Amino acid sequence: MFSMALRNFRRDWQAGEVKVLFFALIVAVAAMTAIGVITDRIQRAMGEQASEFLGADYVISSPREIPQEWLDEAHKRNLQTALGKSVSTVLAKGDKFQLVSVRVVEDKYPLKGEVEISQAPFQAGEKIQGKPSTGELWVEPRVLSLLDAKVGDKVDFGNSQLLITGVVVSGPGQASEVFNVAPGVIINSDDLAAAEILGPGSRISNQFLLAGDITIRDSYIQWLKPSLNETQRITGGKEGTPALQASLNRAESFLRLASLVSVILAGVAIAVAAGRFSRRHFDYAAIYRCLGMKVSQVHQLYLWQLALIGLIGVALGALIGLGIQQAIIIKFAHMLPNPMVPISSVPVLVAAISGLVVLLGFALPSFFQIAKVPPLRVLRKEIVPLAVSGWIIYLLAIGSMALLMWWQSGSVLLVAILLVVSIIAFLVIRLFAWFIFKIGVWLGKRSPTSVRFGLGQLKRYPAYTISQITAFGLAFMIMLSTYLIRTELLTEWQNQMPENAPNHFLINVQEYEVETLDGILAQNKVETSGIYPMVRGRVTHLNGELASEVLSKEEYREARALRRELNLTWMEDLPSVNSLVEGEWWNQTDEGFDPEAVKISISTEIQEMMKVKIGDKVSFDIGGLTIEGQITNVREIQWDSFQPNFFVIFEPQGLKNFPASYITSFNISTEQKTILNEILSQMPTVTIIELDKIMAQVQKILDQVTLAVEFIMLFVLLAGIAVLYAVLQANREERVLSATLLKTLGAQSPFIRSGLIAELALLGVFSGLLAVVCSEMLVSALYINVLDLTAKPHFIFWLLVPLLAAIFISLVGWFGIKSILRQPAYQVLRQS
Amino acid sequence: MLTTSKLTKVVDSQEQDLTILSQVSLTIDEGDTVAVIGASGSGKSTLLSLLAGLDVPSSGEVVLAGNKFHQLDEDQRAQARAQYVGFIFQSFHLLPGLTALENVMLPIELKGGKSPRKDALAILEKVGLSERVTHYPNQLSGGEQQRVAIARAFASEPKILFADEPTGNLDSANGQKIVELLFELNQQFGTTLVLVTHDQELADRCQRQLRLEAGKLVGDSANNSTESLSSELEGHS
Repeated sequence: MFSMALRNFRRDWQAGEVKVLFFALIVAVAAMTAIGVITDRIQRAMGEQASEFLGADYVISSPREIPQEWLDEAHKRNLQTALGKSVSTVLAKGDKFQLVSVRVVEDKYPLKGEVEISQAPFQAGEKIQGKPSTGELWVEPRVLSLLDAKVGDKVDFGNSQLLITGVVVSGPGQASEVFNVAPGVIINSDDLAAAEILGPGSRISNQFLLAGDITIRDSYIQWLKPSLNETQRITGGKEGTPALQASLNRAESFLRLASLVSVILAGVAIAVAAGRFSRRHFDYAAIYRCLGMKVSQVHQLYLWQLALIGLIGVALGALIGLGIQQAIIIKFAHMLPNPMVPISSVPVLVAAISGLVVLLGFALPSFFQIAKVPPLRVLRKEIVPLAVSGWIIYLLAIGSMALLMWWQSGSVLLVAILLVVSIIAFLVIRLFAWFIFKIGVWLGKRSPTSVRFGLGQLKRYPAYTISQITAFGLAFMIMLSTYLIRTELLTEWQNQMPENAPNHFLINVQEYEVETLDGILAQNKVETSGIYPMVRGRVTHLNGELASEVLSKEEYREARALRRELNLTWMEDLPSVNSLVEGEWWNQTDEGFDPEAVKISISTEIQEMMKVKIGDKVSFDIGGLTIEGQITNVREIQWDSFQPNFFVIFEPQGLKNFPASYITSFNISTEQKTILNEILSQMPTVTIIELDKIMAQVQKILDQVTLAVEFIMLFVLLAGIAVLYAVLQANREERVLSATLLKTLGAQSPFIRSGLIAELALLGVFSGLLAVVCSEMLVSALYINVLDLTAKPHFIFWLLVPLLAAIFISLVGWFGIKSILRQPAYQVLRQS
Repeated sequence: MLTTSKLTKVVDSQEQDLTILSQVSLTIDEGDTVAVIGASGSGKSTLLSLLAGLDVPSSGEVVLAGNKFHQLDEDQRAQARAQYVGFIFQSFHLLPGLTALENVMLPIELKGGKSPRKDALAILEKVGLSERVTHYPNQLSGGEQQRVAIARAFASEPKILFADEPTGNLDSANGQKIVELLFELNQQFGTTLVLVTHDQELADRCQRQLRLEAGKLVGDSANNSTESLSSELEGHS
């Protein structure tokens, strides 16, 4: 039976019978493979980049020495390790003293990424993995201005003197330590003991850096976790750059959605093509049955063919998908992490299995029908097998789709939304059927004969017309929805990271320095996002009770923001990048200020951590003084806005008795970096945080994601075209036959042409309108529930889509039939 | 070889049940050549489909070579067809995906023949197509296609051969050749032949003619005689 299936398959292949089926399957598998592999590679590469930010894949910090046992175990598992310490101490040069955060490097540093060392502040330097030699140290630029020193100077470090040999331009850990008040220096571990700065009770943090193969290091971390105590902490793993998390999550949702969408489209194309294939094989099956083949043998014959189609289609699709993703990786190498991580087999397998599931879900009912054809069909051509129950077809298709969606997205909500929208779409289609008749009848009365013929064709078989409109409408709807969501996402990313987003932060600006700073910035024509006051305080009580007692032990441990000092500020107006989610913003004058009930605004994160609501009172300890605020409103902060953001904001008069320092941010180019020197020389205690490198990184990641989003559009379009083509192909014979009959009856070519085109164009208009209505509903539902965007209608598409759909369907449909109409009518009738 | 008793076929129509075949009882002996004649819609094809087990009767019995078709299920009938029955159709019904040789091999394989290829080649030679065994049906003329169909029908050496308007799609010259070939092979293999036709000339070549009218067997004449047996048959019913 297999060899016969192979022969039939070869023959069908040559005759182009399985062309559409193959095309659809290949598009589905290629889309899933390319998208799966690319996102997987980018994700893993970004994980590598995150490791570079950290200096290792994992950093374990502990106040006590790292146990030898941990090191031994890591070495046993072939992991790279490095030890380090950090401690705060004072550097001195002449009469200048500065508190610094010292990173003590024992081994090669960092394990992942590099540290960039230059010979003067704010200059490009050399990227290295290593450590300062004994007797030397590397310092952050601020240290030089604070100590009035330069590279080559000696500074006092405890009981010893160290030579400054480099300026740290960038290096691991900077992103997470931006708000560290003390500037950082790096020394060799040999110099720590000699300096004798560690006395009993010194606050020292030991760091254990770890790097290695992902599975090995993850299993090591699993091994390590149970032996950690409360003071020891693991950083690394899946934590990306938090500023980007929202954008990346949205992009990932979109990609998954779009990849699924191309699979659904391909599924529809497969279903249509399989339907056509099976109808064209009823005669074969009848002959087989007539010659004495059992039903089970015919089943076997066609299931083997389906298996062949599946295996070859999946293999080709996977190969093409891999080829496409490799081409993209090569073409856009400059935008992608370098070196790129290798291809993992998991996404390829996932795509292959998904492809087979789609093929079975959508093609099996049609293939299964073939063998059920009664042998009597050899004598009576009109006999067709009993149709497989519609419920079974829908259940199988929807079930396999839901399974795939759930498998790929892991989101029951997403699956539910898509299913609900499908049902709504079905109801809308029913409504449209009614419209078609009304519009058709109305137009039919006054249109020329050829158009009336086209309309007549549509009116004659309403169920058939509706099924075509459904299929076309679905394809257009999915293409349009994907396009709309993509455009919305890209616009939002561009707005979020405008050209002149602040890339430098100044903190620790004293009140008396604000004017000087304003002067320097104005003189250099640098615009700021505003200068905000900042007071550091710690939360102590919630509604008069100790915060550590109100919250459970677990909650308190989770609420890290409660255990450290928060940056508090006061403001008159709600910051533009914040939005109120609860309560109202204050709007009051000095007279309205009530010192007994100071109003505060908290962020949603703080609300969640402290489990508080509007009206609750929160007490802060600010330099030994206590102030209580009453929660008036809750804000949602857009963390990826690159503006100074605050967890807690007081009303303007609320913090007036507390000494504040100021914070500001602005955008300057690399050439303007000398302004920073000017600022530091005039106000050496100011802390400058350079975010330009991190932001360039962020921009790069956004570019990568944009690229991925753009290229998945391509697959959605291809899959959409597969559906359109499959449907046109499936109905081609009927159109050819009716046109040929007309020809036999003496109709002229122009009449037949305009009638056919009218029929196809009307199908296009109806399905285009259907697509717009459904897209608007789908997109709104997704915006609100999944992508977290605001929904709005897109009126231009109400005109554009029906028009384009009409043009596309008429053109493709017409070109598919044109050549046949030139053949003599007799020949066509005989063939059919 | 083949007997029927009170064979009736009724189909559901929108308004009322339609009787296509009514109380047909007949016996066909081994080696007979029988033509079923009658006007369009008289029930010829229905009778053929019931005799060959392609369809099931509403009532009555069909027994072919000891197989009670009216009691067998689809697959059992298919098995009986593979074992005893050959077909020739008006529209040839060759499998377009298979070559002439493969088309002829198929029934031999289904019957479980030992050397399908050799047997198929031999019979193709008999129908004069040994030069065209590797051609696909669409590469053959109508007459050639019907010759392949005849080769396929005799390939499994069936006990009984059913032919439905075997010359209906051919011009008279080709039709004549096909008829010659059909009867020649039939004689050679000693097959029982049941053919449905409009063509009186073709019917006259058979030993026996069954005439149907409005689903009833109204004539059964042997050796070209027109003696009517209808009253006798009706008397049985």
